[in-house]
Amino acid sequence: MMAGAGPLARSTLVLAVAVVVHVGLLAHITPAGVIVDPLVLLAVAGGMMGGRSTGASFGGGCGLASDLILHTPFGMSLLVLTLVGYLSGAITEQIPSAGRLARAAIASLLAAGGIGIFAGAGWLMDLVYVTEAPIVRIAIVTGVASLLTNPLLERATRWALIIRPRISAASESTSRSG
Amino acid sequence: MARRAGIRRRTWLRLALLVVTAIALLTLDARGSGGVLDTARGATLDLLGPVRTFGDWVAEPFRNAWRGIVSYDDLEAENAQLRGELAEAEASVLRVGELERDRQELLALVGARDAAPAIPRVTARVIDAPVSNFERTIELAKGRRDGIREGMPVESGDGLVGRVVQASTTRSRVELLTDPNFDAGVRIVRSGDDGLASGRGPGRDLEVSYIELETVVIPGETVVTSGFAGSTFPAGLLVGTVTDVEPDAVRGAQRVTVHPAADLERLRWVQVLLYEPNVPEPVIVDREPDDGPADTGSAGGES
Repeated sequence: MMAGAGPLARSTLVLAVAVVVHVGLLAHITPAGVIVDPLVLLAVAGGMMGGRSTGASFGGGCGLASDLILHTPFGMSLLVLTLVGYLSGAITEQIPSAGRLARAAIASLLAAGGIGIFAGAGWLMDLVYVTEAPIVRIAIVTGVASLLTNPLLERATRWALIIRPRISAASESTSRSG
Repeated sequence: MARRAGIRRRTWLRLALLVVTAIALLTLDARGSGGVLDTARGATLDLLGPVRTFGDWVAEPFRNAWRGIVSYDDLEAENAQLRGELAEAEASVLRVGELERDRQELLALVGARDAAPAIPRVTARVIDAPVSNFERTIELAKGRRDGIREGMPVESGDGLVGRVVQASTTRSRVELLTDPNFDAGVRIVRSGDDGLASGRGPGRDLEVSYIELETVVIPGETVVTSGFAGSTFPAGLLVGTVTDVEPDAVRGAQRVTVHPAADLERLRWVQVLLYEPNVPEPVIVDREPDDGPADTGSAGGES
């Protein structure tokens, strides 16, 4: 049904599913007392798949969705996840030939870094409930969650942003030149 | 080369646009002029309400089973304690009933009106799953449709829990009294001294300031809301008990630490007091008598 839809409609659908999974499921599963935020993981995957420009936009979309469901200052998640998406794209562009495992590891570090950026923004805005949260534990759990779910999230964002798989693109150019 | 520079410029432009939008939204929110933002958040809260309720319904048996396994001894001890408290409460209900009757009789004798009429309450279920690690509010499964409005006090059976900060049609969010943004006028019951209680963050006790150095405050004393004019809270809601007192010579006052009476970690059901502060006194209008008997002093404020 969505086969002919553009990236905006597909991204909206992916974000809506992520929000429903977040509030309906993940809010109840708290490894080490931490709630895994799928929108942070998606912003990272979006940046890694789409590059810095698309990553910033996709991260912004994740941030806006997050702002709608959280009670933190409106715009804070938009700001943080835009930067997370952009940085994910910028860093991944430096290592284009990374394998699947390496990409998952990078995603894990970026997701943990995203929590750090959120905490930094909270510190700048003097939000005690952000700065006094167990940031390190949240970052570790988010990083592990990103490591485990990255292949699935990459697939979802690739579909949402209509990005062709790299392998098939490479083989396409080889066959053309051949 | 020129194409690459163009792409780079567009990327920077896009990033700048998003960052500026975020800062504009933050400014709107901070200035409290985010009517559209509040509406959007309220609509999202309503829209996701059934998902939250369903998720909570599915997760509750598992959560209870897990709690039963990991804290069986605690639950047993708590159960025994609650039985004892229930027996005490049943005995005191009879005594309170007698006192209330006496009070009403005395009020009738002097021809006075009850200054603190019973405030209507709405019982609401707490959705026991915050959506964020940085959440400072709890969500209730009732909202404007049930009469809940922003600013209304919320309490559990044990004491004050906080105040409503967002109310959508079917949902509401409550800021806990431990939140750093929370403050309330309170009274130390024994001495009758008024102070200002402020939250200091999740899991931490409240701090009461402006208690004079001369006032004797003893740990274990009860602290209630003072309900002074303009306060969000009516008088007499149990806040907690004093745990520590420290003189602050610089400010010429004491710093009193208060442990909240309500167990904020295990809230399942709460009551929202349908109390709105700063409601103007109803205007008493002397109406001209109609055909019927003279109608004196009809309140026009009720609707």
